Amino acid sequence: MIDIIETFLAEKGIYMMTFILMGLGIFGMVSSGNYMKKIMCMNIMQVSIIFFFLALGQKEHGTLPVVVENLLGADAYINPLPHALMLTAIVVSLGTTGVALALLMKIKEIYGSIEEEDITGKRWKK
Amino acid sequence: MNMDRNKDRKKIVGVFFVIAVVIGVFFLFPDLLPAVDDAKAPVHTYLSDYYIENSLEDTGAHNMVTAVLADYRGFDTLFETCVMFLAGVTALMVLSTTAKVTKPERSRKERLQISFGSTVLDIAFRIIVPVIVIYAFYVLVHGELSLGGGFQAGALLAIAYMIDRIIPSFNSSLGNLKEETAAVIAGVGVFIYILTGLLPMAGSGNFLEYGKLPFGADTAEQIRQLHGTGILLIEIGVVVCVMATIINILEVVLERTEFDD
Amino acid sequence: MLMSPILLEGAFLLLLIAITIVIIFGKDLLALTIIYCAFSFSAMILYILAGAADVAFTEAVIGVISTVYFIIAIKSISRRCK
Repeated sequence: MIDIIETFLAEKGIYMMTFILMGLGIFGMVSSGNYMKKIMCMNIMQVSIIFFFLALGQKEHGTLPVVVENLLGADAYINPLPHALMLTAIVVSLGTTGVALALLMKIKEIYGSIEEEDITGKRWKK
Repeated sequence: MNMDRNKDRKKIVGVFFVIAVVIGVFFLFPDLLPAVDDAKAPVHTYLSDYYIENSLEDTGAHNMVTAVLADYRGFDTLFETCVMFLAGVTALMVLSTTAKVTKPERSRKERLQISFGSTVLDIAFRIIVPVIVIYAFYVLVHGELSLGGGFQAGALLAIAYMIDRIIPSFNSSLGNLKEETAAVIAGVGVFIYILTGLLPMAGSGNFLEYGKLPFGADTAEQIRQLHGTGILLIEIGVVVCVMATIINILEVVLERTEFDD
Repeated sequence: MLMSPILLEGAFLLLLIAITIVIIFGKDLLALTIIYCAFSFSAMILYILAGAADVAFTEAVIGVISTVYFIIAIKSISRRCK
């Protein structure tokens, strides 16, 4: 029973749940009326994409990519290349959040509220 | 009230639609992605074997992720540092015309009474902040031997500054950086990085080629140590830039919000 | 470990999806910020299970900084949302 679940997860399940998370993040960005929630959903979407890259780099029975005493074969370490790219992505996402918050405070000062309905005058159709 | 219920109902329909579409696509096309822990997937077969097997001989770094990030792909890290610097400058520019909130002048007696409402916080943060600063320097210097690197150390230093800035106490804090000064310090960090890249050109090498730094090296062992020196200089540039940008955004946002005390 | 890493990854991904659904339907912004901190913590454990320790260290530190930014920004914005 556990073997069946494990094979299903390894082949398709984990990718499916990662894409569900990304889809929900994008849907939250589009459908929420509050600008603060849009920023939070943007961060959720970025976490899902980073996990997708890290999940591609796993190997069965592989250890951390740090050489401790002797160099074992190339099959015993997991892939260090996606880790380096994703470190950059996490730090850039922090910078994006900072700039988005500065823009949010400017909108609050000019328009007086951060609901999309008050600013653009349009509502979701009934 | 009716508006909110309609909107919630539309959101529930949307969530189910997204889940159904993703599950449908994954069952229609079954063979697009390889299994997760397969060692023969195409991700692992082109370049990663070279990086895993040769990173200790070429660069002398035990941590393969730092070797890839700071040596083999050092050019990417240069532009990432530039992006952090530009984010700090943009946040400063967007909010430059908003007025700062003026805080009233208070005597020492009034400030003594306000503190944060609890004695525990006032004393505990004085013990925690030096420990965090020492740990940040440890993480920076040990970036090649074990887990660590420049980004983590810079963010830890920024957290130490943030704790000291947010908890108001009756003494003045370590010294507040103004936002323009923080932007200038971030620029200095990028400049240190580019300087480390330009130095090998004086020793007739390419940009960012650490093996030809003009410090005098003959044997293969000394060239490996030159690689280590190059990585350390780059990480110092990254630490200064990341710390200054986080402090910059914090000061820009904090100066323009009102607090009750 | 009794369970292999892949089963635990599946469990933590379900937790992340549940937190996302709560954030989409929530109405109080300060409570959503605390839940966002829990989201960042669960993402960090997920990265450890996938074998990336450097990335998990960075995510832990930057999750704290992001949460503090959100809390400071909420102070100048109303706390309810429609």
